Amino acid sequence: MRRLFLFLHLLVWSALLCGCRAERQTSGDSTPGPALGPRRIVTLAPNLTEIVFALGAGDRLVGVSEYSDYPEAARAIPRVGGLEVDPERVAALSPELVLAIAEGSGRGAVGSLQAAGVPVVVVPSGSLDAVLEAIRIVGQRLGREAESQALVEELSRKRAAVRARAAASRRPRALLLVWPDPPQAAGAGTFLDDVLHEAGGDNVVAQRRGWPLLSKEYLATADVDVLVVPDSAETRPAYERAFSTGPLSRGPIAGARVVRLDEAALTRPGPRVFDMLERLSQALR
Amino acid sequence: MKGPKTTAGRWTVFAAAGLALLLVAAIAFAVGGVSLSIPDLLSGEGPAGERARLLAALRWPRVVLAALVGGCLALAGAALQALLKNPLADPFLLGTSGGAAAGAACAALLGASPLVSPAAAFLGAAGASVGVAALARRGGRLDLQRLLLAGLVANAFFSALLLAAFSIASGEAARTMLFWMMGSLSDASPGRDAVLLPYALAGAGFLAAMAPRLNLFAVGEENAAALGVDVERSKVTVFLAASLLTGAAVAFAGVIGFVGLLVPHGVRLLVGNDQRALLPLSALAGAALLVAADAVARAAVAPAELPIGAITAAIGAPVFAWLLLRNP
Repeated sequence: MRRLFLFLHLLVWSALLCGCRAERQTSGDSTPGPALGPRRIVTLAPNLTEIVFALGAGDRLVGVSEYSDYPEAARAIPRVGGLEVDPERVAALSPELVLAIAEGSGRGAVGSLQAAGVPVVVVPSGSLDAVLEAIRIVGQRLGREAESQALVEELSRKRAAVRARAAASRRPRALLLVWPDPPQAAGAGTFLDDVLHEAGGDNVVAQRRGWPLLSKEYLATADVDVLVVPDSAETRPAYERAFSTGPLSRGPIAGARVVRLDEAALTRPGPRVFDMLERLSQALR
Repeated sequence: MKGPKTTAGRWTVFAAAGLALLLVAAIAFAVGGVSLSIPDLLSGEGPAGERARLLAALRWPRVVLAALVGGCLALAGAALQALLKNPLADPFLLGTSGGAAAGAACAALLGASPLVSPAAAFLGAAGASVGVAALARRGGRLDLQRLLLAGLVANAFFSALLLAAFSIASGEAARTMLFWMMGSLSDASPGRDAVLLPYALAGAGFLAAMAPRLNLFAVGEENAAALGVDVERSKVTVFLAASLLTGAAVAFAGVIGFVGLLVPHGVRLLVGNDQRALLPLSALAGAALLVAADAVARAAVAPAELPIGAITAAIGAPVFAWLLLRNP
């Protein structure tokens, strides 16, 4: 029995090293040990794809959500839908584990998949604490506790340095706009508010919960030191227009310091957000 | 018949209504989510004066846009009510606004310039009007029940079209779709006001010329024909003018419901059914209503804004219910 297990273990690893995906083993004796964990994983949000890759288990992914474009290897994995996940497409991939987040994409599909007996783990994603918790949960479910522990420690170190810097300096008045026109900001209780606050900024729309649409009059007259802008090929033309002729072209806001951060890395509750946290913290000083 | 009987009497009422509109516009200009200090605006120096002038530069085009859009919608509603001899007609309920939004959204998706979006919205609105009228026609006349049903179907169809476009469009285009669906005056600028103005004036001019004929329609199409009115041509002209006004309004502000229903009704209660008084007064009252509603939208939940369509619907839907109860 032990030798068989060892043999299977080696078989699976050699398959992985060849770059092939391990196929499902169905024979009773060949159930994988707990250290190996599920080998056919589907993620329903791009931050989960990034977490699985960061834990070194990207080769176990058989399906990912539409916007999973990081790391590069994720682009080649079959898609299971974007904002609306197709549960049938997920089920057709015979997943041993489906990872989902509590907010946003795939919420509808989670219910149908669970009802159909597919193991689904829903992880938290609404704050920096939640990201670390999600990494721990995924690490545990994937049999990658050591890797997740190391990753959480590394990210926590980055975070502690940022916190120390934020505590030692004055908090600039900051605004994070997720879209320039109509202007929409990250308000209290959002993931991005948590990032902004932890990086040392004083969110000027903290009195509003969620994602408030701001009036142009408010924006033009708001007292803002730093304007944080998510940057991607899609957002860039819209922000350029807003800065040249739109709602960011007039008044004190036009003179605010602008910090551009990669949109995907900033807005996805995954490991990369801690790099953005460092960048933002340096820019806010 | 209620209201002013003489031309001079009408002009006195128009002047009074115009003054009332100016007063509402002045109040709306003074209120908002961010307070605007009038003394600073007039004589302020330094940052306070700059701030006031900046706020004024953002706010006045929006007040003007609200007035133009409100005027267009109310005028279109009044004309449709006269044409269809039906107090429940309204560009929103008849699907005209939905067609306009779909037309403008298609143009935006295809990358057309904002200058042609009123024209695209007009085509959509005219198509919707013609389609709804064709569906509602029964034995040569427009049937009230069928008309409302056809409007309902047209609305459902166009909102489905917009939703489908919304789900395939990405990023910026999707937000544009949302703008058409929800209605908003936040994109106001002097340039956009200037593009909308000629469309509004053209539509209003056509309707002003048709007002006496619409009066004859009220006594019956056969009688109107006997009095020498080219009934079918007049109908088409009024339909097209109403579509033009609706298209222009929707192109610049998205779908804003109930203004076209509400305003002509209120005005009719005051001045009766003489189209020569009803049409211009509806335009002025519609302008005042939307200017006031927009002031509420800007001020109520600052620093955010309420969607203007939510305010007009909150007033309009109960009034519609009341009208249905009154007209069994």
